[in-house]
Amino acid sequence: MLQSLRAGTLARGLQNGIDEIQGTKSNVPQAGTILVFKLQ
Amino acid sequence: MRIQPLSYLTVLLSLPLALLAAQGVDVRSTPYATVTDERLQHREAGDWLMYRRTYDGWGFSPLKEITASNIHKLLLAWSMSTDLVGAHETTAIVNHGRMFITTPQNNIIALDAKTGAQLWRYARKYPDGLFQLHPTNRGVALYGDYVYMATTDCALVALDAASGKEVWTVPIDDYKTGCYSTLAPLAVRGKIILGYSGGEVGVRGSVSAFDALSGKRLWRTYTVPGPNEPGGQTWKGEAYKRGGGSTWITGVYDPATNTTYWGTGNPGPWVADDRPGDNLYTNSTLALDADTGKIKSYHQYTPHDSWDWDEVSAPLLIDTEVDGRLTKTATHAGRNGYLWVLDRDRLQFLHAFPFSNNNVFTSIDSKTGRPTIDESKRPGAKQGAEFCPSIGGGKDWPPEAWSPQTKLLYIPTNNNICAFLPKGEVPDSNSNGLYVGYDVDSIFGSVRTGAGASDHLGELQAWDLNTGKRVWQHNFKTVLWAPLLVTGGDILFAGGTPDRLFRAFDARTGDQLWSFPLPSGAIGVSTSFEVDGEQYVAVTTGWDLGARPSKRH
Repeated sequence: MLQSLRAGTLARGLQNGIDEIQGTKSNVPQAGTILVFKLQ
Repeated sequence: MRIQPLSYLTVLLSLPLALLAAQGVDVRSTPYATVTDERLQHREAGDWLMYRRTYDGWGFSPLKEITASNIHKLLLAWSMSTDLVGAHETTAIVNHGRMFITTPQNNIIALDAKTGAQLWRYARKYPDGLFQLHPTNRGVALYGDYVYMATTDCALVALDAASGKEVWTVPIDDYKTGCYSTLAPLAVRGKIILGYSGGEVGVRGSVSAFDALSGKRLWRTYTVPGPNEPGGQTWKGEAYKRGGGSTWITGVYDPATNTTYWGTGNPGPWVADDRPGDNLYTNSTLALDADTGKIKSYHQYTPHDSWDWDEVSAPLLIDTEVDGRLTKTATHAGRNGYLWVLDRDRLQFLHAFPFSNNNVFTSIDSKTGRPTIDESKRPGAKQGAEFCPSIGGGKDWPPEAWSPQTKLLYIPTNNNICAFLPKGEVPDSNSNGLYVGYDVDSIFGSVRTGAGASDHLGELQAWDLNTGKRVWQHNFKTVLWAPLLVTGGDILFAGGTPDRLFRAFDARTGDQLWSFPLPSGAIGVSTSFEVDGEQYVAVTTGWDLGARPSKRH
């Protein structure tokens, strides 16, 4: 059972729940990246 | 081990390092800058040496090169894939041009903060059969010449910061109990202080301190007291043994009183019928003596919780005017949707301001801060119930920020989101796995929208603690899961939306000034630092995958 749990309180789970209610779909890529910005 | 200001030839090392950095010397050719108590307490403007940069938890960088007038020139300097997917919630910790980030799957990556060149990478293998409920990590601690990571198999690892070589590893607790750790540890006066997660699998929460040099445990304080301890009477029988109160977000520290403050999570199981009482010290802020771990004081925000309203975020230690009087506060934007302002000496209640809709509390005692509960809104073994805010709360773990310049507190809020939990069951106290009382589909399908949801869900709010008034608010159509960074240039940075935008706001007015499309959603804790006289802003992406077994890296 645990392995099927998608943590509903986390960002993706919460938005997925909202999508289900509102009929929307949020496609968010999963890739891990660090980005660093500075003035150019 | 305690690093004194003059030990390790700190002064002699620091001056040449600063000169070298100013001349643009490759960080790999410079010796590692030892992290002392002095540097942690009186940090240099260009460094970000701990989770929220300073012991008070503000998330404020004094750097002011980036302003409203030039932010249109803010562009990508460098980026790097972590070669992993999933929830990247890390903080880019920067020490004199060396950056340290963590990732899911127990990785630490050391980078040249100016160029992004990788200096080293460490990966700790999982034990066979480990299940991670939340496969993420929020960053490292630095102390002396070591870098520290809490791991998802519930251990504390110390590495040599210059080389990435493992020095020692000690267990925080047995991972087979469900214990796992995702927070950035806290380094205080020769100790590495940390806690762990597991409130949904029946752990008994605690905070521990380990010697920074040897890894020896110095003290451990359970957040759920036993029968003969103060607060033990708030538990029935042996319920305390699996009572939750986990500590999964980094604490803060007040050097003036040598007190460290920690937030605690929900009691276990969620279905509360078999644990009558307040269930101390769950959903609380605890003030602990940093040398001994002794509990000095506490404030419980939601007694006898049934809504998963963890209050794990440590309070921000803010000295500011409240009701026109200079006050040493412990200020906390709660998962229960109230902004709590406490006097931090004894964690005495001063104010609770609603910032997200709560339909469970019918009133709050003006002297004690204790809420009165509408019991028709309490889900449990006898009834299902709909309630607001949701189990994700008015604000979950993404940290607030405070600017000493604007004197505003910024809160990443979710509003108009509620939840329904059906009639549950008290789980067997000896059961393995999820120790909640609801099945997975009920938890995951609990989200409901409240009035106003068609207009917006996320709210970025700015509060004046003196007046208790909201000064500005920026709304989002989607959820907002945004750790906040505010800078000396009066810029407030926030990611945390599924549209993948990293945004910058005028910290005084709330006007959006800038945005940048990221490769993924950003729920990492953004930081700002300086190298060669230039200000940088760092953020990690990696939208949440939720829980699943992970491949080893």
